[in-house]
Amino acid sequence: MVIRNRAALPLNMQGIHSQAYQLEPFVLALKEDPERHELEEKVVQDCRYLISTLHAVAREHGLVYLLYMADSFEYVFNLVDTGKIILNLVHLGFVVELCHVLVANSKSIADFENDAQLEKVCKKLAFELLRTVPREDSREKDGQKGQGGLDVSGGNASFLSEITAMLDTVEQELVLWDYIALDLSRVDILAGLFGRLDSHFSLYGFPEAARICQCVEATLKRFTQGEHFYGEYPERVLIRTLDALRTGVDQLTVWEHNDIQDAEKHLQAIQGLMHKPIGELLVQAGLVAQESVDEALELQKQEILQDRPRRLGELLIDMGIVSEDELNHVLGKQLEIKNQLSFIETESDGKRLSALSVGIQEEDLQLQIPSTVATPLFSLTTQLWNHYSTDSQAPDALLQLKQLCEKLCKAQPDQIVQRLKQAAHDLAVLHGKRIHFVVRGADLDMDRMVLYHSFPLICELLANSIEHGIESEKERISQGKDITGQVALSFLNQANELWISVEDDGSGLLLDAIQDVARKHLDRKSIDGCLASGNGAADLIFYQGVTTASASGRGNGLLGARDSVEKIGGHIKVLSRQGKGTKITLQLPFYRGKMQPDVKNHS
Amino acid sequence: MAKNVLLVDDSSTMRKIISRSLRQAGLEFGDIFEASDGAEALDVLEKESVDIVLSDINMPNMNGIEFLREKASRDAIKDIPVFMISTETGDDIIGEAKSLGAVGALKKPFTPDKVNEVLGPLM
Repeated sequence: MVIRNRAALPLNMQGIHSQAYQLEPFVLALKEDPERHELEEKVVQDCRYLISTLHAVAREHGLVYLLYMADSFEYVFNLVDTGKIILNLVHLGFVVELCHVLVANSKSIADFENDAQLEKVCKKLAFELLRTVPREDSREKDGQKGQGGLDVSGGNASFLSEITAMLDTVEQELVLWDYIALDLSRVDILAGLFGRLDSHFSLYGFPEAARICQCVEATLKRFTQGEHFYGEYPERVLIRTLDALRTGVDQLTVWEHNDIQDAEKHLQAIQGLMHKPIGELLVQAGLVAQESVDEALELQKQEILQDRPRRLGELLIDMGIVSEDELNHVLGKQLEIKNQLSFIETESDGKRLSALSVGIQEEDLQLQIPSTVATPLFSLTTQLWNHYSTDSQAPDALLQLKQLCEKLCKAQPDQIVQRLKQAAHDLAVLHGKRIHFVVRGADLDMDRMVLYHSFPLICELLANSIEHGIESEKERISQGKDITGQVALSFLNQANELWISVEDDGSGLLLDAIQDVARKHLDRKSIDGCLASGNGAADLIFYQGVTTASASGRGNGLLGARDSVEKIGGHIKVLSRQGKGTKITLQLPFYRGKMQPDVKNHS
Repeated sequence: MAKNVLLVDDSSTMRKIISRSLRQAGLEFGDIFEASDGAEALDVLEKESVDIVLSDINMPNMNGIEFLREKASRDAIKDIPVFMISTETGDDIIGEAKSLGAVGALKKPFTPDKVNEVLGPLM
């Protein structure tokens, strides 16, 4: 889990702001009088400094759009340095614009505001700057053939290593697909990764690879929004796509006109994952004639050739053939049909309720209805139910609905436990630890929503125990412990609370070290508050900035864990003994059979 | 004694998935070797001590069927059992693989349970 150190960002952005602010007048002066060589030297030097700062900050905080911009300026300045191009007025104009963007937006960047809009601005700037670089020049001079593609030797080494690293991460995720497919937040991260790949590829002029990544991103997003994959083996398509991208990257030097082999085939396969293509759906819905779709497809092909890949839906809207509402309607309908759910509308006290009524099959209940649908449904039904003071007053339909919801929300602990076991095993292998993992009390009749809600947190706790808690085999032997570390996950029903605990017999928390780190990051009041709490100093591990990995063997993946549990009225208890182990218990305030009226807020 | 396994698949990701399934299935095995096509697989078989081969069918350079044919012609390695792991389920292609000496076939995707059930007896 990437935790960005947000606290440092405002300060970093302030630095960038002042650098850019100071640089701008010099660039303008040089633009006025390009003959002032002493000025040129200063401008180039300061520019490089600004860009490298920008690069470092963007990387540290995961601000991808700033990274592109820094990348492209770095690329151009590298070319200037190596004498491949000469710094000209156009470049200076871009530097002025860079300064403008940074000065005007440093605060929003620090506040993570307007990300989407800033991304557009930065990408455009990066694109247009790169466009000014005549690509063939340097290669033809070197006696190499080819147009487009990358000069891998120079400024693009960073592009290559970044892409390769991203593809490796994608692979790691895909290997664990059966496990990550259950955790939508992880699928979302994977989608984001493809989004970044898309931007990288398009930025460096590989439209087909970009389009494939864009398509995978969209497909995974649809999956997280509750659509189902067609066919029983979706990961195969994803794996093939990954292989194709990898082959493409491996052959980068010859990756010119045809950047991905059989790109069209891969695209179709990915699109095929989510049943029917949008064109077909629109024709079927009678909103668009087949000829118009063909026309749009033709246009799409041409635009791809001109490095401007766009989605079919977008094109159809632009061509005035279909409206955005119609398109969304069809997409929504598809989702509805796919889930085989029919919707009814119930009128109650002026409130309208869209709810599931019929058509839910027994097998549909098996973890296939996404929590994005089930949770609000559960909540709405409960709100409605709570409206009646006694059960007998409620209409029969509502009773049936409530029963269906309860069914829908019943967990399938077996499957989840199986996944957790796999995850624990994989984590142990990954970190070279030897563990024995046991699960207790998984046969409890648990609430699916609770389990879903806490699933990422359980994973995080497990990861912490395995990665940081359990010592290496060597350390365990030297401490006289059994060579195999024990990690236990238990579920317990305690007076209408569900207690989920993760326990290990590892190194425990080094509370003194944690307090030391905390003193540097937190104010006195928070620290005192923690020390006075039931958990004592251990509570500090849930605070931002208290990165105790090196000191105590805990990462800071627990950041926000306490908040998320407390938000739903629960508690986290930490018990730790140095050298003996750690036990973290989530005490969650609901248990099956007791419907909470405000479940909606929990997600 | 734990058996050494050779995985033959052109996708490195797929090879990782297969070896993960083997681990999850709880099967005892020794070293895992990897090859990305039939020709590479033959090389590995000549050089290393492999007890069982798990091979894909569709691969570039030398596919699974060609691999089986070539392997059968080499005395030193012809008796090493080969198990096909593939999305190909057509009876004729599986039949052809079996007639060339493949000892069984497993269809992708597979669960650890299935792997255990099918490969367990061979391990």
